[in-house]
Amino acid sequence: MFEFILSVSIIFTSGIIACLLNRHPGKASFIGAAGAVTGSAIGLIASIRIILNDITVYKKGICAFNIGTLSTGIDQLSAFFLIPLFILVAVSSVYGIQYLKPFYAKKPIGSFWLFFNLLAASMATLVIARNGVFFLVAWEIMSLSSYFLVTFEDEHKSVRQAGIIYLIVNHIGVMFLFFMFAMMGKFCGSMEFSDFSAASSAILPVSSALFIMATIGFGVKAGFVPFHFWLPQAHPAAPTPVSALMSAVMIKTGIYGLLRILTFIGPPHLWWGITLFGIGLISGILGVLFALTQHDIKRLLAYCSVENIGIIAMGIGLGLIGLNKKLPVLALFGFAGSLLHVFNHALFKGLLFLGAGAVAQQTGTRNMEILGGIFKKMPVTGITFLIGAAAISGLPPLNGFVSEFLIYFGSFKCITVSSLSVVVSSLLAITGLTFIGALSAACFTKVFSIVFLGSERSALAEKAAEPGKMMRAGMVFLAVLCVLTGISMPLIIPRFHGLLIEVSGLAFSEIDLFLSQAKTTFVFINKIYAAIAVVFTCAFLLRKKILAEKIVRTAPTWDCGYSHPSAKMQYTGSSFVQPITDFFNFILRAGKKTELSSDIFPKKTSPRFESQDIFMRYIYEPLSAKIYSLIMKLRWIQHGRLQVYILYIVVTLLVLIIWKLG
Amino acid sequence: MNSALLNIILALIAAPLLPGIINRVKAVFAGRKGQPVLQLYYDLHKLLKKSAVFSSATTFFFWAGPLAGFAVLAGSLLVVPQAQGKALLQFPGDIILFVYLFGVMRFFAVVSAMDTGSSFEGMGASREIQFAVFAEPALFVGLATLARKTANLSLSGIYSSFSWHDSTILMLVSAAFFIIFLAENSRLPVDDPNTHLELTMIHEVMVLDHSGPDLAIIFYSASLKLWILGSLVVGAIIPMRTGNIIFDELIFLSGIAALSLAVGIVESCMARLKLLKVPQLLIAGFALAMLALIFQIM
Repeated sequence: MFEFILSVSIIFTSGIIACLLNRHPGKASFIGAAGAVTGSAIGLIASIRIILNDITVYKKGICAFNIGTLSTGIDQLSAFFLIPLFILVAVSSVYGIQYLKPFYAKKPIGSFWLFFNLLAASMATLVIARNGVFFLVAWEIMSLSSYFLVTFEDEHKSVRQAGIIYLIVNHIGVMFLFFMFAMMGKFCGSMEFSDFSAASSAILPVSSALFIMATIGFGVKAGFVPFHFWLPQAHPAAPTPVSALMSAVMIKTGIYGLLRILTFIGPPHLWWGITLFGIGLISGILGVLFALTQHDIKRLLAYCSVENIGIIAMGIGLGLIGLNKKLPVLALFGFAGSLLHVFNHALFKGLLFLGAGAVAQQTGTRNMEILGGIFKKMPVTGITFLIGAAAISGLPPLNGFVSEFLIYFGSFKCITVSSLSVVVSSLLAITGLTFIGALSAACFTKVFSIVFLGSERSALAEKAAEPGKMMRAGMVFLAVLCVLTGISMPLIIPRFHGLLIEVSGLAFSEIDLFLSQAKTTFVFINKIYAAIAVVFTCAFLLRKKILAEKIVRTAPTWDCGYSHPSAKMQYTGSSFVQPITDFFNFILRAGKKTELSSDIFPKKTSPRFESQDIFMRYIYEPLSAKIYSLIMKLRWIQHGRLQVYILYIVVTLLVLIIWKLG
Repeated sequence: MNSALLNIILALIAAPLLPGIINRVKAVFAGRKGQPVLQLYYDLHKLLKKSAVFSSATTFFFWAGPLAGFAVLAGSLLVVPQAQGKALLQFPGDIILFVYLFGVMRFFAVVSAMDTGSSFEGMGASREIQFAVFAEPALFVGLATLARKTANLSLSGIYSSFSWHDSTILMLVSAAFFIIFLAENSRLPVDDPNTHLELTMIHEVMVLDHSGPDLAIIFYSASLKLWILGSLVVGAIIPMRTGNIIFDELIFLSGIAALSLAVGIVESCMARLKLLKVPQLLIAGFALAMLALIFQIM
């Protein structure tokens, strides 16, 4: 426990020191990042040790206030969420040192590091908090510090708007959490997590209400559809190290909270599982469909986070269905798959955001339609981005495949059982995951090929160059982790033992059976990978030998005899995905504007594809307009005359006194 | 000798025969003399002897993509059930890996095509990736039906335990698989493998810039893909396992030959579908597989 407190304090203090050094951006950056890296390293080693030795620590906190204690504790679930957290904090802070250099003259760098380290420290704290109030305090610090990070470039109107939406939405979410914890505190007589689990029978009558509040409250943070709409606004607005941290780790605190609450509120009802599964399926499909239509590379990645959170929720949903139906296979494969996906998504989404940020910084644009051909100039960024893209599409042998594989496997196993609800949800899981996988392959082949391949579509793309060493280091590190996780599953999966006991509450023997089954499967899969690698190497050498004796020529791309192909004639991202987006336009409702002239002599026309978030367009915008007009009706109360305000205060006091006396 | 190993070697050697058979059938239908059945072997031989031209826009993905695609196909050959419904390797869950390996191949094919920056290849890549969105779920539902029917999660386990009693479900699933087989291999009515420069093309246009040994490996992989996906169709259409290696081998090989014949007949009798209709065809495949699953559940 000591290591974690030490780690959090180092991260926090270095942030404060960095803030004091606001005048010296270089030093501030160094101190802030150095503190974040040191703290993360300590925390990471301690978390890995906890997982390896299957330890659980609990420390009752001193009573700080009347309402809550600073109890902390660490178990397998906490440690499991801390590992990606610390990895991403370390990587993005190293990346951040270089990324922030262009901002030195115009921005307070020290304050950036204060909030960055505060965000990191608060996320770590909320994962080890063991008291409702303490948890909420850490949660609030996390939301507020990330708000200040999102609005770092507040000279742009879009950034300010994204920031305010983020702030409001997250506070509506936290309201549900307040209610939830208050209710739990009322029924258990204490805010301590240990009392929550001890008094689970007391909570039982209201467990469904708690589940609903947890799903909404944590779902807002995680980005479940329909609460996702803040995500594609806030994540692109934030500076890249922050968007990486937010998308890879911060939204997972919602998943952590949900899992933690699920361990308190007793045996799950069937509809809980079905609800979460349904939310997951819808989030997954809509997330990737919206992602397909985006031109802004960071916005696209943000929508993909919604998709991946959907996959995670599907896994948890299947897990709950399995627990309810007494099907340990489904429960364990569902939970294990979704937990593993939490980890994997943190790696590849962090990687993709860092890559996208590097591209955006080097070219000065996030609009992928005017990029192209920058692979030759940024090979390291390109290769690591490709690894991330393949991983997020769930392709073997990368890490995205293994977590989806577990969910598939559980679903395939349960397609043979007799219970209709299980068969239907298994079938939906299988088709849904395939569908999502195929769509995200489309989405990421689009991003990669439009941004990195072909030839340069604009002068911006021509001037691109590889980013600095520290930015490259972060990307390479994450890419290596993506590959390693994908191929070392036989070593990793047995470590899920304690974690699964905590999350599922199932018996020792059942978990052992599951783990050995999963392990043998992964060993077989690795054999096939090895065979593929051997064949590839042989084919590669053979090809090299054949071509070595020949004269290989280079020529322009053959455009079927057209003599002056230009970069503008290349396929664009919009046209690449157009067959799919047209097919799903009944959901997407993307606007396609082409002003074709009907004159004899054609004039210049410009087709535009505009995407919109249907939830924003059809639900939230009308809703907020409604609220706004209602509030405007109360406008007469507030007219700026001080005397009347004082009158309000006097009247309020009077009413309160009368109420108290009477 | 292990029959599964024998089959892998057989697949690697005999796969280029399949396009030959298909073309022969089409020639007979059209009343032409047609090219020799062994034409693809001659082509491969000639391409391997040739040099290559690379577009100046390309990077190493351009040539590494087809190599990776071939390697992945070779990997899937390890789990695909051939004669007797047996593969060299089998483990529960290999169905999932099998489908995903095809996803990897597609990913690299698309990246390799987009590498040239040609709008023709972009068009082909875009269509290839679009059809996968509909074909992959159909394939998975078909496999899920078979998995439920045989209570098994490995391709070999599923394919070696069929019997004649399952005919309704097997017929429906095979029909779905046949549609996916045609789409995945870019045959009519989804794609016309004969035209090289039509704007309607998918697979052939994606490889427009490849030449020499790279083109050879692409052609070879395409024929291998025909064989591998063909085995899935044949195994479901002819669920007969005698237990005798020679008989089973004969049944399987004649099944593969008959399938090529069927493809040839389809290609001779049908026109290519309008591109907008292709998703409908694939969804029909999905519906067939779903129907089979519903029958199976009831």
